[in-house]
Amino acid sequence: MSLLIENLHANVDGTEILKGLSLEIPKGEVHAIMGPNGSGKSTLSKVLAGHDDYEVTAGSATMDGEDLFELEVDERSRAGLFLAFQYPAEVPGVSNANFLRAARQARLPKGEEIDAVKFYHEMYEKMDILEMDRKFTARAVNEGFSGGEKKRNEILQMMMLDPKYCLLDETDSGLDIDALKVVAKGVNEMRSADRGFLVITHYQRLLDYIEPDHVHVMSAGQIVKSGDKSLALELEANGYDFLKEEVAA
Amino acid sequence: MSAVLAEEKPSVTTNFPDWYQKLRAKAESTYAQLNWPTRKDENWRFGSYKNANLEDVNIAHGGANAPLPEPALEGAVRFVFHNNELIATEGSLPEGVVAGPLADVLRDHGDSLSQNFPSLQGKLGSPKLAALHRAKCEGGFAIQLKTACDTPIEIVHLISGNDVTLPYTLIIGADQAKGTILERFMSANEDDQTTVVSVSDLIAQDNTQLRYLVSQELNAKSQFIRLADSKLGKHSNTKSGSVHIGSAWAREETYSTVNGEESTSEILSVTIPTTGQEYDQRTFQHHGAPHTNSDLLFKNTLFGKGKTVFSGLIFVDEKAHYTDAYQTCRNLFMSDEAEANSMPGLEINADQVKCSHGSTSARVSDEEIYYLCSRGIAPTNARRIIAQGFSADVIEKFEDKALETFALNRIEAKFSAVE
Ligand SMILES: Nc1ncnc2c1ncn2[C@@H]1O[C@H](COP(=O)(O)OP(=O)(O)O)[C@@H](O)[C@H]1O
Ligand SMILES: [Mg+2]
Repeated sequence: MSLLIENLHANVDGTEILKGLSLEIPKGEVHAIMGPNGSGKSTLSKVLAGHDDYEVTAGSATMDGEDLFELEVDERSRAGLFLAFQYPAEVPGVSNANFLRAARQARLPKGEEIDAVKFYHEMYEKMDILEMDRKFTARAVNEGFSGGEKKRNEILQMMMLDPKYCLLDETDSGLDIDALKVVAKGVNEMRSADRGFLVITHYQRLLDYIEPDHVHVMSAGQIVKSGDKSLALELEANGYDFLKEEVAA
Repeated sequence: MSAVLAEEKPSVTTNFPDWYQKLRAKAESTYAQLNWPTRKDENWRFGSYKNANLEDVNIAHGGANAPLPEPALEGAVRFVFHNNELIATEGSLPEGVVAGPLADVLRDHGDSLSQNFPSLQGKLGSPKLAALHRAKCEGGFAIQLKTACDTPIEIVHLISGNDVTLPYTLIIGADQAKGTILERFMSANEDDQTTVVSVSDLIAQDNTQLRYLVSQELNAKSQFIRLADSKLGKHSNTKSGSVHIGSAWAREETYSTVNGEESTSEILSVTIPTTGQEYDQRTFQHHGAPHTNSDLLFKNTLFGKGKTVFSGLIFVDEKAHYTDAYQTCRNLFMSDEAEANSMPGLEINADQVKCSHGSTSARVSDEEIYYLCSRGIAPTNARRIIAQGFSADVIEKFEDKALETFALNRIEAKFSAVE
């Protein structure tokens, strides 16, 4: 049981961004991807979640054996994939509560109605973990939210939708240390033997709070190096300059 | 409980007091002198002016038995009309509230009104229709609130046949009055080609808080015209507005006058036109005294080849200093074939005034739809949720749970029907 990516190639506007990327995230593990800006980290997450801007030209991605590329965006989500966006969209007029409710409703068989009382109870419980104000449920999705509030909201959605595989795209960027701890608390709460995580980050700071089982370095659309947590510390100390030498070598 | 409710059979012409009959006769001659709108009429720019020509039409009064629709507001006192004839009343009104056929209310409670009955409407393009209406309207309904009324009042107009129906609604809120009024327009049959010309006058005296929502749900072959005046005294707040989801064509002329300090007139509207539907709204926010406020928010969600026209003017009199007036019309396009025309405007003749006006048009955003889809919501559902949210924003301004629930249900039903 894993999220399995093999020899993935993908284009944006005709330019190849992912150039034969392979990675396996078994259930129960947390993998981190680090890499310089522009190396294709967000592209990888969008290609997995599905987005019209990205064209897969070769390779495969399966989730517990199911071909992701055969599914539409909404189907992938319902199948158990979750992407916490680097830049979440704002949806004016739609309250957070209604939004989450619709997302939960979408997972029920036709004709079955969500239990509203249970839903609110659960939502408040998760919001407490993420230290979110109750008033937040009535606010429009991400509208006028600070960067930190948006990221917390992504994690709340992740907690409410109970996915099998979670992709977190730079959830740490733009967060102060307190917000970072809260977000990490949410993620750690969800770690379990039957869930896999791919945590994309630019800084190793996040990995102090969400301890990864494996760390991968991405450069120019490929995984160029893999290791354990110490690789993140190494990157922190020496930066990404080594990539140029290694690639050149 | 003391309520003045309708008699078994509705009153007809002869029941109006003499002073009112004189007003009707005067309207008759005004009607004869005026012309129907033409293409050149600035107030009919982009609009279907020919629809407003009601020369030689038959006026409907009463109709065959029609089943009553389900009540819209729980615990409301309800008055149901069929082609302007009262066919049912349900519930009872609290002390201090009078409601019933116009003729009865004018006869029994109308002395104070005889001197200053609302003048003819139609300043925004339809003076001839206003005159026709007063001259020919045999029915009418009046509500006088003399106190805070917790019981909502629901008025239902069932419309049938192919003639012209002329409903009239007079709402008077006396000092300290509070109340909520819902007025629905519904077709008794799916295939009738009715024309409804509805006129309403809302008079909010000092220290009042009134909510008044009109829900236009006529069948897709009907025409609907509404002339809606409101006048506010001091320290009052009025939330008045409409939801248009029915009819082939609807024209609404809303004229709000705030003549008392520290008063606010909120004017709200939601329309959802699709192919074969045109909603044409003209508004005037008149500030006649210092320290007065008005806030207009209209939102149109356009499907298919739906069409809207919005023309609004904020007008601040010379003496009306310290006015706050806002006007916003927003169009959300659910298709590339829809058409929205917006003509916001303002004229300020006083100092220390805060005013803003504007209109925006946008397609339903791909980015928003994508975000909802990424959470497992199917694309068609995502579009609907976004559009519903866009409209809900207006409805919430009524700050009344029952009205909100009713309106959101109607809106949801329309979305289910069009997509
Ligand atoms: N939607 C897009 N349209 C055009 N170019 C894009 C798009 N998304 C990504 N790119 C390009 O692909 C490359 C990788 O970007 P991205 O995946 O965002 O990198 P990272 O997340 O690692 O910073 C960059 O050169 C970026 O400009
Ligand atoms: Mg990125």
